[in-house]
Amino acid sequence: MAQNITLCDEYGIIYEAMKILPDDRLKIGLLEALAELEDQECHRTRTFPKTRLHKVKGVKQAIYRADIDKTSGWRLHVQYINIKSNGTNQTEIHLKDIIEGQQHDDVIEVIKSKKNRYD
Amino acid sequence: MDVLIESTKKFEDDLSKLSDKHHNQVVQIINQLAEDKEELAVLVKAKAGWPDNPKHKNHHHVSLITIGQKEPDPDNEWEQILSLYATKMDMGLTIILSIDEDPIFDQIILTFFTIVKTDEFLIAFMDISGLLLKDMRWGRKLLKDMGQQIIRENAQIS
Repeated sequence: MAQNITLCDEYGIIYEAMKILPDDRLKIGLLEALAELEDQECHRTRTFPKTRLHKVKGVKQAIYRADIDKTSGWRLHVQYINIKSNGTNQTEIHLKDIIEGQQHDDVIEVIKSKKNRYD
Repeated sequence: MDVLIESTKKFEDDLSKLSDKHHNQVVQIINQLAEDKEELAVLVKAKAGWPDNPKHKNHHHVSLITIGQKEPDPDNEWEQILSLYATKMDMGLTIILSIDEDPIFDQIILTFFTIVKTDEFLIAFMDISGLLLKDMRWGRKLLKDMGQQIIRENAQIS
């Protein structure tokens, strides 16, 4: 089944990002992150090396975190909406927020990850 | 669909402090829950207050944490946002976890946050929900609007 991916920015996150990202390196990082989110091959293989895309835990909506820059911690929150229509998968990725890097709190930082069985 | 089991440093620390017997019980609970994909599929769709629904039995004793109102309110913003669950264990302890559908990676994620004494559950739940929400713009707005005091008064586990 073919998959079309549409990036949506109804909240003006790109506009906000260009105002608050402190340097050109991060702005280029933003562009690279957006490109990866639109990359059908990344979605097909479920591999996102730049953004390290992963589900935000503890929240019911399909909200994902996408790194802009690993070192600084700047990241995007995006919402994934999948629509099946006329035999085609339409995927919409809505930019929800841009977040500055901050210290992780031990309480919610994941340190162990296993498939299907805990030991 | 795979089940990804994740745990936080806090959870691992809590687990390491348990006796061997209780440690093994917790691991058994985790693995039984992870194996029961049919039940997980029901849990991720559960509305707040679901454990009160007599039509469904949950043999893992996992309850969706309802917050905001003592009577479950499906229109309540809080209850629609969080995917936090709790499971009470026989030894007076409660595990707080999240159960999340992950459609991009076609998996369900179980994230284990902490193990607390059941009578200390409310404090732990407030801490975790606050940390989860403050990382999100709309979460911070909710925290500001509703206030921690409301959470203290109304958070409950079925």
